[in-house]
Amino acid sequence: MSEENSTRKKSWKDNYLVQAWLILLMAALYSAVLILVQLNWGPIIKENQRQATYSQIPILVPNTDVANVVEKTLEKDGKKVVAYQCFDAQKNPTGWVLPASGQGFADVVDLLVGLDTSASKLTGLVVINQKETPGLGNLIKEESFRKQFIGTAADQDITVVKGRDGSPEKNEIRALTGATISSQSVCDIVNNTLKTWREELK
Amino acid sequence: MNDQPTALERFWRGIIPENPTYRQVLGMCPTLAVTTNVQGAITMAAATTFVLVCANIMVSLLRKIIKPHLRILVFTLTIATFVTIADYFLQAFMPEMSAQLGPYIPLIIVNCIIISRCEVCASKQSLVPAIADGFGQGLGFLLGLCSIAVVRELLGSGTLMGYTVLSENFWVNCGIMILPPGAFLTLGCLMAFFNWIGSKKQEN
Repeated sequence: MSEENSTRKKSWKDNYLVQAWLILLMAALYSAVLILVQLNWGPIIKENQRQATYSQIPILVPNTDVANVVEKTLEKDGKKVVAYQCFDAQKNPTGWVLPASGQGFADVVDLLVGLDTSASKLTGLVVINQKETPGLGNLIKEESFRKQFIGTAADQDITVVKGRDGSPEKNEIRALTGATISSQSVCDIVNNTLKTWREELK
Repeated sequence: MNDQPTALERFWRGIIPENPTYRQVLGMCPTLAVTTNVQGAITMAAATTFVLVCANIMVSLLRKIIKPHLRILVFTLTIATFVTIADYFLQAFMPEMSAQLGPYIPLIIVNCIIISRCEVCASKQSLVPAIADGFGQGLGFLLGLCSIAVVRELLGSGTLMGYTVLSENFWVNCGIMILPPGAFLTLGCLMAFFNWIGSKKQEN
């Protein structure tokens, strides 16, 4: 009896890889399916993301003809970013669009910042991705909050003020009620991005 | 296999008697999170139904060769694959909806409705009842999500499917309804209502 047990234990059928033959086979099969999905839909997803960025450019930099936008890869201290140099229909420069990302209140916030030709003033701001609190922090994507950034100077920090004060001329942004951290995060992300990349926009 | 419910029974049970939201109280995470508007609820339910039916088909076909002690692994692998396909589909063809639903589409992988249907039905029954079960539970989930989403979107935003129903002239939107507390309040009230109907029926 004990001999039978010991031979039973050594049977090749008990090897865990053999036991899992179905799972290994399925994993291979599913991987193949997912590769096909990625090959077919991956380019469409990439294109969607590009479209999402490009559709915002005329809002960020006025008078821009999207057909004349040039993508420029900037490099500094081992970091890389793709900036968009904007031109109007007559190929006159109209400004820059710079992607900006950073930590918000809940999750990473992705922004696009519009700048004038000399990168000295902000011409617009849009929120591409955010997962801030619905009804409070996610109001950062509303125009009433975003339009405060238009006209702020790019060479100095933008600050957040509470209450009814605050004007773009003084580089002040009025915080959203109940979402001070989300408001501060957006300003910090803009400030940090401009500090890093403003000088490179030529 | 004679003691197992037929395909038609499986289909019907998923919609009312074993409704995933109100009877089994499964999949509460997406139920509370994506019911801020009706379109989101419908997309979520459609994606879940797709995964439910596909996972049920695969598990039902393989049920005789799946080793019992490795079955959860097979279920998870199958579910994860179909969820990835659903996620890619939304990203490619419905990018706005994909952005709205955010992480809740990938999170279908851990939705216990699907794994419980693989365990309860698909690993024991043949293809036709398993497919019927998938569609039944999916429709039940759709019913559960939409009932909550209709209340929340109407009271919270004054709209239905994005169309204005309650004009801003005489309606003040209750912001709390689109916040998490609104989800709990609505779910609690609706569940009490459906339980009350159920108990009334039993009395008769």
